[in-house]
Amino acid sequence: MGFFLMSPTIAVMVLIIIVPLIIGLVMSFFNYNLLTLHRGIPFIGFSNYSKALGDENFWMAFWNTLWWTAANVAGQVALGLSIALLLNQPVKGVGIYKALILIPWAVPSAVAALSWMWLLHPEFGLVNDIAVRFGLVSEPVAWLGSPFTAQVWVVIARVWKEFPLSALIFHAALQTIPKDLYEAAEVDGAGVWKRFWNITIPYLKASIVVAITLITIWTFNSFNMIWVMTKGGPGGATEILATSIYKTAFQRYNFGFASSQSILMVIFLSVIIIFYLYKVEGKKID
Amino acid sequence: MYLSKKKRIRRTLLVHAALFILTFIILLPVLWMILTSLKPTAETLKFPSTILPDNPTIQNYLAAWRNMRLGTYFINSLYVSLMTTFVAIVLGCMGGYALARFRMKGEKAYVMFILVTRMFPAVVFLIPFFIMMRNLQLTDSFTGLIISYTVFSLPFSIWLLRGFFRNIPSELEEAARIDGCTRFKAFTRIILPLSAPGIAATAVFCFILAWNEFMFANTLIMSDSKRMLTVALVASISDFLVKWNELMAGGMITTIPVIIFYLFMQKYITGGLTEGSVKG
Repeated sequence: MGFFLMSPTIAVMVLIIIVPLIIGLVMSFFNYNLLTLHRGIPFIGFSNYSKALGDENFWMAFWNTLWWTAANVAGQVALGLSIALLLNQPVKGVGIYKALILIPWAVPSAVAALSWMWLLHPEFGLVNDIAVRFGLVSEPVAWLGSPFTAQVWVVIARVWKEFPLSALIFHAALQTIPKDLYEAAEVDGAGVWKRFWNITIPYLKASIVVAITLITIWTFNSFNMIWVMTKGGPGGATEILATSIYKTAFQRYNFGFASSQSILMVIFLSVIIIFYLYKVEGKKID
Repeated sequence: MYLSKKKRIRRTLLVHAALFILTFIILLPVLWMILTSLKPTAETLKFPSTILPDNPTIQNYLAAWRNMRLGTYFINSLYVSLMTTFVAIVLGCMGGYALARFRMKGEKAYVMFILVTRMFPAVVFLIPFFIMMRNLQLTDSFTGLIISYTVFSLPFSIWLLRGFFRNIPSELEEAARIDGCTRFKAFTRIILPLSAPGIAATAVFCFILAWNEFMFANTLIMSDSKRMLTVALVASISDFLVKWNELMAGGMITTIPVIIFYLFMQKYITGGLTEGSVKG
């Protein structure tokens, strides 16, 4: 009975998940591109892989992805935790803020990216407006036009979009802390920091691990914000693995090479996924 | 509480002030999108900007709907998202119920598999999907897009629904079956009504997932008339002259349905977002 109910789902999952993954894996061993497509596609073994591993651009995208991920994790955890701590204060009427800070998460990432492009517009953007008004810059800056500022702003834009999730995770965890623990500590004369380090952090540890791993995985995989805002530019400064692979496949039509890179990307990622499965989910699936 | 009243009031004020300022900064990009969408074009080309529109207008919304043909794209997105949701919910109910109620061989492996697929980069699926869809002549078709969205929404819905079904005591079903109900009847009469809010929440998540998607829609759909909303908006920034006020109006049109869903489903969002990633 159980199997009968499962079978359509399993069939669909095999067709749309397993089969594509196998096709992707197989393609990575072939010189599958626009030129070879009509003359027969030659098998080339691990050539795509060695080409990728010896490719300067691939490693640049790899390091960019690491920085992009690290900055996102730091930003999202810091902002999410601060907001969650504020929301958790025993104060009336904070519920409305909880609803409002979710809004960035609701904005489709393509729209979020567009609205950030408009905020950062080199001539009429609000960011330039504010920066000029406060005398931070003397004239409008093309923020997405130079490598460093572009790298910083794509991170800010994505942290803005994604932090509500970690705020929610932390808020949920904070609510499990018994309130009388704080009161007892306060009576014993423990200050705010002491209470934070000795009560809040130990209780949050598990969800911080969860948040960090999930944000790491999702940021590592992310594509939309950077693609819309910079397309990996300027000069590859914001090129991450996802955008680089996408370009190889759909702008240069080198599907075999792109597949090998995407398999490598999964291999890098699997380190984190395995950590996550063992540390977090493994315990819960009985 | 051992806090004096004065101290408590001070704390309340401080927390509210901090939250108000933070929330304001966080909402600024959205507020700016709204304000821009209400400005006539001339006002968007001013520097320093007029913060509030001098002559607010809803003309941009009409222009976006008609000139940018967002009406067509809205219908496209709606159709694809609804169909994806339908497929994910029907199959998800079956799979989720089976995983919640039956002991099966390889169950643990299957659950792991569902989890892992949710963590794979989309581009890994996109390349083989593009090739498969081209061979099946399903590129540039809504069907192809719906099938590929199922990759992400189905594991998600199975996972969520498994959790919802598990929360319903199986004694209820057993009682019904003793009274002569078939398992299917017990499912439709007892499980479905009891888990209706959970199913609705799952449906909303699947809908939003499809509605917000960009990468697959950008790659698998070629013809202009079949574009999804998100892709159409992004495509318009390569125009020679970008009308940011109309574009922001288009952004609002794309975002508003999602926010409406949010307001209705707020209670489930916290659980749903973190379910399967935090809770078991």
